[in-house]
Amino acid sequence: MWKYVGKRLCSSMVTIFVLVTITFFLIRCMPGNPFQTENLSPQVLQAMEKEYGLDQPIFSQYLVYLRNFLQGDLGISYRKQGVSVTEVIGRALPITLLLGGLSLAVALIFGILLGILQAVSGKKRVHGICTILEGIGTGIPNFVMALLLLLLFGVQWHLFPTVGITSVRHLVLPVISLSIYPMMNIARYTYGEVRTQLQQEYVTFARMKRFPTSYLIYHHVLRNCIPKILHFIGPMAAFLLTGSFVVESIYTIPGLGREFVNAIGNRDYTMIMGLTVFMGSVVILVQFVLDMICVVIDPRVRASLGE
Amino acid sequence: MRKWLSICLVITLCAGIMSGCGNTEGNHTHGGNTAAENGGDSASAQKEITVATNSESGGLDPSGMIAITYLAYSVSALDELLTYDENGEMEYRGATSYDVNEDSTVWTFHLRKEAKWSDGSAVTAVDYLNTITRSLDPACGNGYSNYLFPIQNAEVIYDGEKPMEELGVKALDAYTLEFTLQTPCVYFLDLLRLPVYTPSCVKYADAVGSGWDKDPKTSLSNGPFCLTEYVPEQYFVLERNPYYWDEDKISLDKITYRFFDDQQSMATAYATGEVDVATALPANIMEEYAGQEDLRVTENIATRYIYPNLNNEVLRDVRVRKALTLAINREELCDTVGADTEETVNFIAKYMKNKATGNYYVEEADRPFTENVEEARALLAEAGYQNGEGFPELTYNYPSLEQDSDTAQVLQQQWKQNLNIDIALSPQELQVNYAERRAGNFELCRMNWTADFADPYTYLSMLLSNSTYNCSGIKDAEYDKIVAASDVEQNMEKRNELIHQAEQLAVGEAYYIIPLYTTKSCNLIRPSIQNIRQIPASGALEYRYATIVQ
Repeated sequence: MWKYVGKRLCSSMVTIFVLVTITFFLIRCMPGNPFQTENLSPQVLQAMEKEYGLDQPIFSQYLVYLRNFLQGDLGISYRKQGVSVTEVIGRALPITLLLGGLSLAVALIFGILLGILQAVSGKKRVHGICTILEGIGTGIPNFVMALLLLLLFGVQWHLFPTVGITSVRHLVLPVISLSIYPMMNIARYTYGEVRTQLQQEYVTFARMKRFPTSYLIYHHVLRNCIPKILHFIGPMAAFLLTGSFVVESIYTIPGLGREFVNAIGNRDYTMIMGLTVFMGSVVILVQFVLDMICVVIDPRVRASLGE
Repeated sequence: MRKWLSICLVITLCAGIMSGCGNTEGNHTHGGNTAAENGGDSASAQKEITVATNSESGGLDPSGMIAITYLAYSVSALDELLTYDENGEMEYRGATSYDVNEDSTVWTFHLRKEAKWSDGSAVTAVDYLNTITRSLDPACGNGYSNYLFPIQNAEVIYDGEKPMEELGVKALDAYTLEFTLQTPCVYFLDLLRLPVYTPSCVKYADAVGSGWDKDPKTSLSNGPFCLTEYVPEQYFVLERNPYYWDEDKISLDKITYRFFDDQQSMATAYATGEVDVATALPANIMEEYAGQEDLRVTENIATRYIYPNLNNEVLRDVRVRKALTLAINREELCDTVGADTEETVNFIAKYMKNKATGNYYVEEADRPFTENVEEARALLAEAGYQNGEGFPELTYNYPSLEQDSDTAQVLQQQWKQNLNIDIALSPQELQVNYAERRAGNFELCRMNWTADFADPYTYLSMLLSNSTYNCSGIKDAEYDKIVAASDVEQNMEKRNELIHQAEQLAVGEAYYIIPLYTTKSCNLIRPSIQNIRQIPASGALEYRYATIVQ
């Protein structure tokens, strides 16, 4: 098992290194630069480029970046003077985590409940409504959902604020916009899993022994489904990180996504690099941890690793 | 079981919704945010307004990187030496008077002795000097540093070739500031509104990027409002400066600036009541709010035009450039592009006022040219392209913004229809467009210039042979001579003549640029907020004298 952990750890490191390299050169390939604005004098622009080392050959800039990166220094933002990239991440991360975490929790709870409801309900109407909800939820992209909610609950009915994130009420619309898609996906998946489980022989046996359905679901069926649903969390965490880009912009929430979008538009090189590397690392880390959890809780995986 | 599950689901759903709704009253405790939360109505009672501004960029240091955040802050928080009001009348702020020598090379400003920083200490000449000296370092990232170059030795100091001691600015005593210029500069007073001439308190403003500018304890202001809270990426709050020398004229208690990523979100926030003022909104807002008091349309001091690249063999021929210019129907263009554009045939911004006469500059001279499709066709034929035959396909570069994309399509269609020539459209991201233009890598390129200061020189200087802004390869000794003469001409009437002569030459004879239109800003302001002024130099809104009527 330790060999497997070591192998996974190494491949994660290599992935991050490749990510840094590709991102660095791709950013430098983009025309434009961090100091360029509409009325700026080219003379002043040139002086600034020289001052910040942007006139150096790309490869030597890359080596400098790599050296700083290995020392844990992600650099200073070009567009927010005096603000380091780690400072920005430190400021924006809790907000994105709060938003993503809440959305994930909401999606998991309601998604699983909805899935079970659909699976155990004998009524055709319930099943039909759930299917339609899932279809709509997975079919509408989250930015459309965000705009729709903003228009209805913010502009039309004035029920919820739409700008920033200064109170609990501010969280409602963005969390709903972010959670609907994963929620409906989970519901659909849970429904399928629970149905499959219900057809298993152990369920028939338990039913014959007159176990109540609720007991059966919570003590046996769900327990068998959870590891499979866990597999969903990795890609979903990535989805919530990237999905928050648009939703954060729409609701003017100062999280990582909005920083990222602004940094690209501004050609804030260090900021784009820092955020890409950070988010990439988070996704890689989450995947790594989930793999480890699977190894621990699922005997079949352990067996396949030769233990 | 089924019943139980359904009940459970309904309860959790309701709880979710209730937790959102239940907190309505709790928001009032959020300090600087109350105005944003409650919108215009409660703002009136507390004499505070919330203004939407573009996302955070740059800092609040006049020597640092200047972007929208600084510009939003400075109109309310900082006093320049002097400025001009809407009628072109001089308004002394940091200074009370000035002297100038006969050839306009030595300017001496007498500072206001009662002017105070927001901590109660006196504003002195060294504070002005502090910004200037710090700005003359490329590392500061200030895009306005070049406007210090009229000052003796400023340019060589910026390039690191001379020490700061040789700079032509001296604090003669605490309240006297003397500028010695390289050459006479008749528009020098107009430059004084720029960030690099605004003071920064020498006690705290030590270095760009040290963080003094966003910390309310050290970020002092000498204007009517001072910084009391700064929350990165979200908002900043300005409150009345108790030491302001002209405090009687100020009515508002508090201005909150909220950062937004785009204009559409600003408009939405205005609709939901979360901001009281939203500026520079998309043109569709004009239709949406047509006839309502909230809508206020202001003129930008700006010209949108096209650079034909003179290094291109076809465009080097003045007849071709003239044909392209005359073949555009600007009225139709503006009708299609939107109500926030207005046709112009000039280079100098349509709404730039001549302070000496009170008229708009462009109205004081003949139109440089008149649109004429027949003449355009004849010119093209004369240049060897009878009915557009043999004319190579030129490419038009423009930023992929809605307004510019619409413009490009109308131009393409008009040139095809009127001259039978094909133009390829190349929409680019804004940054890409800037970079390609700067590199001279284009055939036809869209350009927009918003005046930095209220003098035509801000436009005319761009086309000088040695100007670093000159990206289309213009080299015209005659033009250079006229502009240079206008730069030093003391007699205002003669100077005006030179200005018009230069513009006539550049636009109406040599066709170095193809003017299209001037733009307007579509703003939403709560009707209860009055006395918001418009800064004549840039067209931006100024809130310092705003009042709230019930």
